[in-house]
Amino acid sequence: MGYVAKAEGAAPLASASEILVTDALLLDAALLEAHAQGNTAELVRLYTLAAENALATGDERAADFYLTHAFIFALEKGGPEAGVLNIRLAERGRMKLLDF
Amino acid sequence: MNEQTSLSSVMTDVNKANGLPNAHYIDPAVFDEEKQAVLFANWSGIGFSKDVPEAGDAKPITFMGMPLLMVRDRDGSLGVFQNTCRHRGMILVEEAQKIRGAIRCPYHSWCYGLNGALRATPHVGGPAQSTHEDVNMDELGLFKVRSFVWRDVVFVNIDGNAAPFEEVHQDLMARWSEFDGPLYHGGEAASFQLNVKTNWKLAVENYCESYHLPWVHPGLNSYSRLEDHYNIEERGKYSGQGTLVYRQLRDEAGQTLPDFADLSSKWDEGAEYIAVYPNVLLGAQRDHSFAIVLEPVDCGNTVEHIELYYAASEADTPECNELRTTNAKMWKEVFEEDIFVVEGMQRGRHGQMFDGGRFSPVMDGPTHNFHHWVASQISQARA
Repeated sequence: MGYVAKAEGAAPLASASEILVTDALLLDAALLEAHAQGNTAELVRLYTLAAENALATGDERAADFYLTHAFIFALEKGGPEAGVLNIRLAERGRMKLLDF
Repeated sequence: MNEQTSLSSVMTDVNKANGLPNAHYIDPAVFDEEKQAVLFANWSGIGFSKDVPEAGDAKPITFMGMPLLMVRDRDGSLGVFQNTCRHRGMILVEEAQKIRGAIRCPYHSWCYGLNGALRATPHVGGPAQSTHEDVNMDELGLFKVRSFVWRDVVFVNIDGNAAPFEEVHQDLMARWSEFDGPLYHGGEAASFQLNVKTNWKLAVENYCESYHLPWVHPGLNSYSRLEDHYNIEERGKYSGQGTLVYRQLRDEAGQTLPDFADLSSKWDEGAEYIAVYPNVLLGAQRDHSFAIVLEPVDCGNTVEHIELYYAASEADTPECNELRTTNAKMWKEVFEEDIFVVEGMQRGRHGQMFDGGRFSPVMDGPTHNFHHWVASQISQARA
């Protein structure tokens, strides 16, 4: 799976949904951009992506860190992702299961 | 603590009483004493329910330094919380906004539901560990402030010790029960603020009495003479004034604003203007009402938040929009006419020989009633 993100000096992103990220540096840049813009939906998507990348490399701790951030922004934003992420984190012993 | 003022001369009969001493208007120490004993110990107005109309609407309000947050929950109820995170005391919400999911503290991202419950404490047990056995989330919801909405005004009892609002204001609520039907805010023109260089109490005192009307509001008095007014004073409860000659606003075609439903004939030409102690001023007429929340800023500065309400919505009666605009303009002019008086009385209280003043035994009963109540609250707190 390939990803593209806005890097330093790159052209403005057309829309959040078009962001694909190819490597960790670009993912990092995309996250910073989403933070700068307060784009909560994009933060949920990118942190979830970062967690999947970490899981793919076997870095469970990093995955849980990113999942935590994805969950927090999903909780703030509202919507179904928060419940899904909460279940994942609760199953991994990182958080208590919440009612939604 | 300030050197305590003497209140005995205030708490006697109006015929012999003096008003509150100067210090109650110009001394920051007494302002702080009243903050606790008068404003926080009773049901004070802080804002308006219409400012958070939909689920998730949140509005921060700083009331006498206290950071508060009004939130509309998904069940339609309105909650008032301390706008302070239970973790490091960070202010949670800086400006009015729609909370779509949870209130997230911008510092360490502890999250709260619309009902104030703590929902998430990320990394509280170390990186990626969002639980800790010693951090009981069930005990760390936002501090909830007792609140009650009446006539769209959001009242709070910050110290939590006052009797229930419906008990404290039982008589007044019964007095105006005919006006319990829905209120429709009059829109943008019906909402305005006045920044006044006066102590908040002087705005209450001036509102309570009709004595000043012929001198300060000659326009009103052209049809509403002094003898057409009556005092409203209930010791220990509320005070104000009423008129027997309320005249409805009419446009050139003779059209009036729609009346509130099922009013008795008392209100055909009657209207009342009552101070709900400590800091809310309400007016009730057959075709509109208004509410003023006085925000005490400091000893000598007050913001008057004024909102006008009607018996029918703008959407349902667009033909009345011009009347509503004219009505709001008229009231704004009346309230502005009072500014020089309350600011003048404030400056007058720097006169060191002023002894609180003597009341008219006949005309100043409502004002003295308020002084008596304030003095009683302070005396109780000092006891």
